[in-house]
Amino acid sequence: MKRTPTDMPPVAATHVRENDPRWVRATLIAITVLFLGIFLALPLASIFTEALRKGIGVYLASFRQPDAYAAIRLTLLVSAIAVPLNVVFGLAAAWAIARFRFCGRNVLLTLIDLPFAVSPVISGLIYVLLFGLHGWLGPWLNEHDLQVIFAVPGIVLATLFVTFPFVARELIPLMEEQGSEEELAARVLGASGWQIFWRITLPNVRWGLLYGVILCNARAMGEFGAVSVVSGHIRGLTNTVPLHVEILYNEYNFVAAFAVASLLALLALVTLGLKTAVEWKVRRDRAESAASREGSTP
Amino acid sequence: MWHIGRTNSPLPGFRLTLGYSVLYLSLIVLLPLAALLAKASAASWSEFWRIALDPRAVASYRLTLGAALAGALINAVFGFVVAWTLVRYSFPGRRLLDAIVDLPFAMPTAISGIALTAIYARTGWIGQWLEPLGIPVAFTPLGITIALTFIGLPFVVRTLQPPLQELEVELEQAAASLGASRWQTFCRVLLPTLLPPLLTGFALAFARALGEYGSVVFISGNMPMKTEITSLLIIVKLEQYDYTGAAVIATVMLGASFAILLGINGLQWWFNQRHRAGA
Amino acid sequence: MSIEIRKISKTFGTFAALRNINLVVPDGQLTALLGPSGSGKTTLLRIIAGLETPDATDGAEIRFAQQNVAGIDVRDRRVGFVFQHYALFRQLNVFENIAFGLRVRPRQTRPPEAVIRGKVKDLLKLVQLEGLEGRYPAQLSGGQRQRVALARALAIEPKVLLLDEPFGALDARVRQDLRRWLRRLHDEIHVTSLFVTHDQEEALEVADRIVVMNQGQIEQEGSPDEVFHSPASAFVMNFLGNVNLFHGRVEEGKAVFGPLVMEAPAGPLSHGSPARLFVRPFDLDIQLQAGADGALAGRVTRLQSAGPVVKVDVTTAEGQPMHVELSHERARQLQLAVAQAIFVVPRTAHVFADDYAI
Repeated sequence: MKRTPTDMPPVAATHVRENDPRWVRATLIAITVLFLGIFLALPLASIFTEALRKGIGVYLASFRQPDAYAAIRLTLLVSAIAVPLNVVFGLAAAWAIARFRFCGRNVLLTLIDLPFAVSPVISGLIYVLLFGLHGWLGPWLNEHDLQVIFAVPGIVLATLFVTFPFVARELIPLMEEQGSEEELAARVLGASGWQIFWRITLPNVRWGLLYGVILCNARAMGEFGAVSVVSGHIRGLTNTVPLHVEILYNEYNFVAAFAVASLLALLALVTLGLKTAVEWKVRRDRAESAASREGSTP
Repeated sequence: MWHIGRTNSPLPGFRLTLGYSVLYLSLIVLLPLAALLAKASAASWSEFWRIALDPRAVASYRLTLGAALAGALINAVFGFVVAWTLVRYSFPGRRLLDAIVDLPFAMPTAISGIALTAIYARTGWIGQWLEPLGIPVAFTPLGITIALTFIGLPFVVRTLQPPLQELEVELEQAAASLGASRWQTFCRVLLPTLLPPLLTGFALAFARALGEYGSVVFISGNMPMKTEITSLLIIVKLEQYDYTGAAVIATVMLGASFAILLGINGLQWWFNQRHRAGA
Repeated sequence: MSIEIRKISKTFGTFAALRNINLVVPDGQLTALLGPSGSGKTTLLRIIAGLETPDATDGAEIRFAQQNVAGIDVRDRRVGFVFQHYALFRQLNVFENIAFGLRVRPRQTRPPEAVIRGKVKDLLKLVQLEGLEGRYPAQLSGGQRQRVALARALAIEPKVLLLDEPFGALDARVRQDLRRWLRRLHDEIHVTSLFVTHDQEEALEVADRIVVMNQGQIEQEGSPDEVFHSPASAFVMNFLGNVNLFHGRVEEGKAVFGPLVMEAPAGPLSHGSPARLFVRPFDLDIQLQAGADGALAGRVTRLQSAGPVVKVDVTTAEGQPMHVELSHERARQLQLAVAQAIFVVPRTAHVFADDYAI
């Protein structure tokens, strides 16, 4: 799976071709606008409409409930743990995979793709079967009075599982494309491994890393299926924001549900904005690196 | 299992980074997966198949496969048009539309789920027009299909955009100079080049739809035998403390996902081979 | 500091990139590793730098001066390496690129900031890039990048300087200027240098010594004069410029190529074994009458006099095409015309039989 949508979507005006007949162009543009409008823009708009149905006062009141507050705090906590851990993993995996050839490399790559192919429900289930009361480690954990499932650690683990590919999948192709010559040059000049990493590798991949972090964070904060299986839905304790939305929705408290949902929708919009900005940066960096390899003045 | 032999790069850090990656993956992925397979294999062979082929499970497979397939097909058609338009034409709002294509990735699935339900419910923006026509959407397989279309769209568009951009102008001009009509050029020159990525995008969207949960549960209604998708069935079994049942169904789903993953890798390989041969 | 290489081999899978290489690169000289692509020259360079590991053969050694560096990590070898595509640090400006090797030294041996600044300034002056220290690699021309890469490599006061196709990525004009500049630079700093190239002109013009490589082996090493005028093998002869090739046989101790009879290569050659005659275009003369020493009869098929020499294409009576280069003066004397019948006489020729030179 070389290219999945987490790769950079490329948009460049240089590829625009206007040579199709006018009516074809008009029809296709109309279909595109209509299709994206109905399928993407409409749901987005409906969230805010539903949230504000009873006025801004009721909207704001939805956030003032302690449960909502607790859910937001838990979501922030989970992503504050999951994202850094996955950044470290992503950097380590990218260094091993993009800089070395070794037996089992493809197995590792496939393993990194795995969460993309597995249903989020299964991602949660596997932890229930490992740490739950009837799972492998459940009895032992119970004896020592440790709780993983239906508690914060389980939520963190499930989130780690569904989000760990994002950083690695962004960095591996980027580092492979950049090649290791600069790092070799640094080595020849006497740099240590950490010096190479901090002074050469990290600055070179910083935008790609940021891109991965943005996607990883969006998923960590928004994950529903996997977290839903392991959380136990204990109000005020193990409810993340998406789970809180679900509970409100199932209680027919639609305004509050959509109000809290609008927070996540805003997060999605910010994510898209940042993502677009970073893509632009990365593309420019790539163009520069391509130009510097050509060996002539740009 | 891992051959930690020195590779020929003089860069440092190989053992450290590979060791850390493998350890991390083992703890986060391999160990829990092993727990799943162990649980599933706790059931005897006949027990396994009894659970896996239970009518309620089979109904959920049929629904999930059917809706995922329908969603992926819709995306293949409209995703193609969207990718084509976004790459080849310039019009006001193009960049905005291009950015918004990723919305299904960025939006938490539960939020998409309740938003779609709100739109297609009997009183919703679209539902109120379809309901009088005798086309109920919410709480029907059609609703599930719509949710899976939503979730799969970016896969097709984003897989098609790069090859569409790489299409050489000369290719079309050459075809035109040889007397091909625009339609002939499209069918005989462009489509064959774009077919592999289109298939890949289709397969990716399909794979994603098979396992989708959050965006579907709200709009599906979750009636056993009618609108219960397989992911939900796993949760139902879990809530009944039927861990073995959940593990068995999950194993079946995992098997299907792996088959598709292999298929996608095969497609990519085929695509690359052709690409290389053509280059 | 001299470089000594003993019994170095390198295999990639089943492909033997280097086969039992023995070589001494003399102290303070500028040596070229010359060969076609795939001849193993870059692999050899990278092995010397420590970027590749040679096969573990008995007695395999790489020595800088007298010290065996085979077990020493690339980081500690103190070699200056100029990468083919320069590998400049794109996130650092010119100044920081050059200073890098000094800044990454352990605290005890790291020079103070003032010393680093002074040293970088000196290097900038040496490579004629004063005033550009604030630029980033993407803002430089190819030739400027090349010189930054060189300054960066020199900053660590390397024991030896290794350059991988240093002019390969440049266009023809810049390449000409830079190689003369490199020659002058080397005369100034005298650090033992080894550079890889596939361009024989470049090697002949710049290097003190040339090592010609082919298929993982050294074909010949010597001064530019030696390899050009006394090629040790047909390959070297062929690789270092255009040649005319004739096939013939050894007969009674003489090598016979139609009407031309030459001294056969030394050694026990059996009667009738095949021989090859190589003559460079400028070692051929054209005469209007057949001389005493044997000449090849032929016809002029094409004349090209625009250029430093007059190029004459000849087809011999046997139908073999030949290229002859005459001075303008000689061409004027002869008053040649296309289709004219003439005789071609070799002044200097190299005869190889079974690939052994005279």
